[in-house]
Amino acid sequence: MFRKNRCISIESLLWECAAQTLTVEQRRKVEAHIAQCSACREELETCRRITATVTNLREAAPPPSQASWQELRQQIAALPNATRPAKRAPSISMMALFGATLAGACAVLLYLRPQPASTYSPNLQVAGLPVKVGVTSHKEDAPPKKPTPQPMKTGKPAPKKRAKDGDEYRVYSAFDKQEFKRSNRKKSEPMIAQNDKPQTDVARIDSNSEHTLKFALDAEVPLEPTSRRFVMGSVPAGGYSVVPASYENKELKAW
Amino acid sequence: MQAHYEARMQVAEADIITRCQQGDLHAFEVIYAQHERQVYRYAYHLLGNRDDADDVKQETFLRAYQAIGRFRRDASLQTWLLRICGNLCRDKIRSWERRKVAATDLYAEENQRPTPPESDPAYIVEKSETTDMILRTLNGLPSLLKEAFILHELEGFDYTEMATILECSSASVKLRVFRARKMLKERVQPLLKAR
Repeated sequence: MFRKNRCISIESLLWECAAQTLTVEQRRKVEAHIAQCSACREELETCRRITATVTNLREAAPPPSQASWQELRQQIAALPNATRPAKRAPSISMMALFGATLAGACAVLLYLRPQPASTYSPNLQVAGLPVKVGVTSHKEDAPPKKPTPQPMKTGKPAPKKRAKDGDEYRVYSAFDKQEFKRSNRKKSEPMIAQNDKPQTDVARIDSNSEHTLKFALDAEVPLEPTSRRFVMGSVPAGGYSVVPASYENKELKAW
Repeated sequence: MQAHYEARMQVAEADIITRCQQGDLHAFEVIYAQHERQVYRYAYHLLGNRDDADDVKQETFLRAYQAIGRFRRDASLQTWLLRICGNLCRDKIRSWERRKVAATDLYAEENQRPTPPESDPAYIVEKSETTDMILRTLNGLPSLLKEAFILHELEGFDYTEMATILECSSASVKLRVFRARKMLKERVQPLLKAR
């Protein structure tokens, strides 16, 4: 049987009507409807009976309980100590404790993580011309170093690394760099310039050397050219670029 | 005045809970005295007999005593106790269903109590029968709907408190009450017509 829309709108008010919690206006609306609709009148009667029963039940006390505090006390006394509440003031919750432990573990992991190869390129002047320098502490054939703890960031800039004795660098003219970028050379191909400009050389850091490139910022790095073609005096236009010898093709491309 | 009284009661309750968490058994006795009637009544309405309601009541307070150290005070002590009680009642009803034990007549003892004197004996009999029929129908409702109906209609909790006790949203609680009312009405109406 299909209910009329009006009946459906009244249906939600029937329980409130039975419980006598309707406003005057709602009550008039319901009364006007049930005067014409026998189905809703029957429903209201059912709601009234149920509500009356529930009200009686609410007001009537259930039969008295026979379980007492004394019995419960005996049960509590029989409990093992581990299941009793601890005799202590409530402390931080377990979640807070877990969070603190996790944060500590993360801090230790961050402190001990291996550091990637770091580079820096101070602006250099060689014979009055700019020289680009890339310095790294990473060497391919060097044994893996233990991760060294990094100082906490306190707002001050991190101290720059100094080049050490034995570190190797390639020195390019600016022209060579442009050539390298233009030509798509592979790693196996020799890094030889296509003209008469100064060629690529490998320089090894050696503090006993007489040849010294004065690094502009904080390091004074002596360079000993392993090739005769690297002459301090013959600086091409555009200057030199010094990069770590361990750089692969890919890194050179990025540089 | 009322707010002042409630605030004082809350302070007192917080103090009692703190003492309980420190292992004070006398403080727990106060909690028992304050809440045992409501816990028992709720269990009685859900289970329908005194013995099981007694068992559930004692078990509720025993578990509360064991767990009060972990009570976070997110809800009131009353709703926390009723939540434990509701869970225990649900477990008991499930075990009945597993063992296919016929539930004892709901409120059987209630109906054995002397009815108030009325002028017409026929009216008394009819009223008693109607009440019995309605209570049986209520007992036959799905447990989730029955629980929501009892908490709302008998215990007088609002939807927010019920949501805390039943561990669901207020909207879900509202829907359960609506469905319980509708189902109860649909089942009772033909029985009343048949009389």
